[in-house]
Amino acid sequence: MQRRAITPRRDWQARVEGLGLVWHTAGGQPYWNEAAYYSFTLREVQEIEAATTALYAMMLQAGQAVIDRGLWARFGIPDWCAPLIAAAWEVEPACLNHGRFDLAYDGSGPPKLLEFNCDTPTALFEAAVVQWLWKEEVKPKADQFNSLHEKLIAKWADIRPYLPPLVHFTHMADPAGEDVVTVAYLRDTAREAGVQSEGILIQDIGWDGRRFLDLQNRPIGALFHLYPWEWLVREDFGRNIAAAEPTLWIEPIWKMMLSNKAVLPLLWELFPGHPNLLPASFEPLRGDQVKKPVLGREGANISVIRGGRTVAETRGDYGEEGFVYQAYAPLPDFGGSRPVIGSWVVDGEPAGMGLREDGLITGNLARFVPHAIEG
Amino acid sequence: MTSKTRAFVLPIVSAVSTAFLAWGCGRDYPRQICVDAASTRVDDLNCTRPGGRYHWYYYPSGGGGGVAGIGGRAYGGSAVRTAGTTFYAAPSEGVSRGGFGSIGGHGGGGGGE
Repeated sequence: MQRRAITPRRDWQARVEGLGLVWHTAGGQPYWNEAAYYSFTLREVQEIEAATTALYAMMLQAGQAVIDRGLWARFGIPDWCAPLIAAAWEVEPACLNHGRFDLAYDGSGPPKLLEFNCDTPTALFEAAVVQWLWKEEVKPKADQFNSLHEKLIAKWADIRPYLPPLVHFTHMADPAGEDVVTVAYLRDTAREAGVQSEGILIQDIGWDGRRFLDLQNRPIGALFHLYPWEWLVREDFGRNIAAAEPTLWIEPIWKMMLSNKAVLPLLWELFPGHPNLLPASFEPLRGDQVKKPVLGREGANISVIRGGRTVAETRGDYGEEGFVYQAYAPLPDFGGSRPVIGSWVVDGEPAGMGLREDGLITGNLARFVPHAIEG
Repeated sequence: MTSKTRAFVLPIVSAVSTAFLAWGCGRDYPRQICVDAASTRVDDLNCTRPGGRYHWYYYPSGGGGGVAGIGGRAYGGSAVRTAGTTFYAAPSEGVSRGGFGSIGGHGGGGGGE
């Protein structure tokens, strides 16, 4: 695994913007950074792929343990959600079952799980489409760990018989356009599979006392939401989820268990010493460690503790539900750029990867850097 | 690792990203309502059925708070659709809305991570 500097395409902004990556620059700095790329060997990619498979299998066992032990309070999940989660876990309603494992990996040891974003993962469109087209143009002889697009379409086709004639897709009107276009991309993959869709902003969803409705007051039979469950259940309409006439939620509410930092200590308890896991606990550990909020997002409220002192921390509004402590896994340092590997699953199977690089803490200003398989 | 020939057919991404660049998210989304011949707003369903008594009325910049309610007279927009713009339905009465989105709306970021 190497980081290689490379000259960006002269008109890269126009190129990626033309594809739909309207958030290619943030705060005056490139978010899409093609001034470098990460070069992997096939063996390294296979190691990441195998780790992803293993981690997903462990996640399934962790989910069952949450239900069996009733760990709702530990996970910051309201009690009234417990029966909904247990039922969805049992029935397995149709969904993409997609997610992104964030891994620490430098090519010399096993990939280590940092967290699993399986409720509302982003960095999807750039991983699936933009970096592939970059590779085709800049490194045409190389390969790439990337079958996201095909797997998403295949999964939509797989679940189409269980979907209503129209699937709604909702998101926030985020100022950067990331959520807007990510959802548009998922709608395109659904369309390729013959699924009809319509977009609706999250705040526009209506409630008539027994059903969720779209802006034309049509019942929402199935709803893909790029809006996290921990927010949905705490908002004014949240309780209606339990009482409403059935809406198929994509992704399902059981994702609350796995897209949650509290799963990290549970995994370590269930699989102590597993090479793809880091020691984790609800209590401070010995040695270097990272303190993370149980329900945190985008690198907020994280502290990196090394040698007994905090060497990096981020602010935010999270932490009310408690914290977990995870052993510190140094990210490879390429002149201050420290990449985290986002290894994707669709339907629980490895589907590709995207890399974001930042400092000690990977936050919402991290840069996406494409990759290629060259050896 | 992947298939060597790949085709990305992304008409929704194209339309949405173009609209985003044109309008941004700081403004409301382009909206449309259904009106009768007297420009009185009626239920949107009337514009989805065959027949010529009703037509769409467009607010390319979202209309702000000026979008007509059911039975109200439409003004401030246009009966001519702006080419290349995706128009979204406008809220109507009888249904409560805004019960989702409050937490994310305060954060200033997005719902993904």
